[in-house]
Amino acid sequence: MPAFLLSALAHHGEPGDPVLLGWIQDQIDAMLGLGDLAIVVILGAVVVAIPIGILLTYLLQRVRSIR
Amino acid sequence: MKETAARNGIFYGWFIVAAGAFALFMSMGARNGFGVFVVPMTDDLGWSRTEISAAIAVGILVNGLSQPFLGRLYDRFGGRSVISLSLLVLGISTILITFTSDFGLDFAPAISLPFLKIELSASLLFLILIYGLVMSTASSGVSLVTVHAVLAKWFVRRRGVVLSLCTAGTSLGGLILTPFAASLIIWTHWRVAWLVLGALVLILALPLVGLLMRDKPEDIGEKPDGSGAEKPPPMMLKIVWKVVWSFIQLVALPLVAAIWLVAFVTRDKKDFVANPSSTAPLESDNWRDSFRSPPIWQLSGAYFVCGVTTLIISTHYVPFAIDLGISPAVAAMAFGMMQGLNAVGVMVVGIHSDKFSRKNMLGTIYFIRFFAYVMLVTPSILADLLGVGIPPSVGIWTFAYFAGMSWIATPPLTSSLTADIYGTRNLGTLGGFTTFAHQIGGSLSVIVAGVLYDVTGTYVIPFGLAGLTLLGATIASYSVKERKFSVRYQRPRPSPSATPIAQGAND
Repeated sequence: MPAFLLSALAHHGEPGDPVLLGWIQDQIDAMLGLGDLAIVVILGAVVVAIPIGILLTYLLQRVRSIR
Repeated sequence: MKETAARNGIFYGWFIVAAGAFALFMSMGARNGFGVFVVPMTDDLGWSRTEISAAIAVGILVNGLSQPFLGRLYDRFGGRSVISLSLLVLGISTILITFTSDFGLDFAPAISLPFLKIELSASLLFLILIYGLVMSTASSGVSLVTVHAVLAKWFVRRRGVVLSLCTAGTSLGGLILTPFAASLIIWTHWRVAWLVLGALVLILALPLVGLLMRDKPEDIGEKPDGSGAEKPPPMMLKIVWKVVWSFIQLVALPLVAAIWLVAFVTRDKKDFVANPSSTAPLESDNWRDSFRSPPIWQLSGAYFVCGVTTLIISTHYVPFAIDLGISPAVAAMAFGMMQGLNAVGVMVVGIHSDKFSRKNMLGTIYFIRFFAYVMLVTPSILADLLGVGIPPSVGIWTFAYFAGMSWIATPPLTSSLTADIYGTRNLGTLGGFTTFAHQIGGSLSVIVAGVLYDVTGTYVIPFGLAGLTLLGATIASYSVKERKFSVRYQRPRPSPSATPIAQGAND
């Protein structure tokens, strides 16, 4: 069946092929040599930092305009 | 509420871009990441790959079918309501997948067909309900369709670059959230990973959209593209951007060269109107009227081909690489490069599409993808017919380079052209329709490619046929009468009854 149902890289959020994702994960591990915990912490920090950065910029603008 | 925060600072529209891009980042990332859950969930819950694929199939179908309806809801209730509510449902449903189990129920009616055998256990039904129906419908509400429609109201002159930036956010979502989820699964458990993904949607994306998203600039006393009185960015930022932009153009040199060549050949004069008419030439109160004019069919037809040529590769890439004797490591690296080039391609196209004709840009992108397909199948054809031994990895790498640059460049161009031609009043519905065409094309191509492979024993024929459809998409895109129908070329009319300016030379 339907390997196509596990496809990757389409435009609208279809799930990625698990075999391919496994290959890519192995490549990342081989290149960076980081453990899973380190990857979770680093990428998690990036994900959290994005909205915080956006909100801080917005608040700074707001404070400046009020002054 | 009147917003004054961004007056004389950053144009508020850029905060909408940031909030929309992050919402897409989370929504697409969470759905893209499902692939890394397949193995641990099937191992843990005793499903077969076919059974979990059934849930995913329902998800793809529901996501495609619900796009026009969510687009319609967007047109009626606005982006802030629809995107916020969708994020809420998306977050809750993502967390609910954590609890997937049989719930002590012992039943499993079987569906048995010659090519399909599925045991519908309680756990699988739960996954089909939550992921396949609820989460996939919610994803349609936080999609390129709705976010592009909001942004099209905030930007007219810089529409191309803004929609491209936002689309790049989706690519980034897959790049960051997929390895994040994969590592989280290994470090903890797949249930924890779903919980964390859902919590991130609820704690980060939902408040950000709720706080910053506004449906249109008039809501806060702004104008599309800003008033022009905003503070320019600091010099340091400008220098950094120039360096980054030069690097991006260098990486995408063939694409940049093709764009300039087409502009030269078609004598693209960059003669846009500085302050175009506020009403698009084909804008109508009733969305059905749009389907009486050619551009929506040309754009949807080309987007159908886009679906054909992206999903077929996404699906059959691994088996094709294995058939050619490519090692997993090389195939994964080429695939990774393709992902990385997505963002480069979409930025190059986005920035240039605000300077040149958008339909030329779209046609060029489809032609570049056609060239990529030619390069993919040529080594196999030459080897079979003439016995010429070109290493198959040449085709894989060349394809990854050219197709990578074109991969996600089509959605922002299609959305921008639709908005330029049909206005923003029914953009959600029209965007939903084109996306539906894309998904139908994708699903059909994958099935047809599988059948053709079984019959011929090679991927050369399905890939060759898919590549040929790109010529049709190229012609359909180039033949859109942009000068006649796009708002970018229409001067403000003195009265509603006045006719738009005449059609230009190169349409």
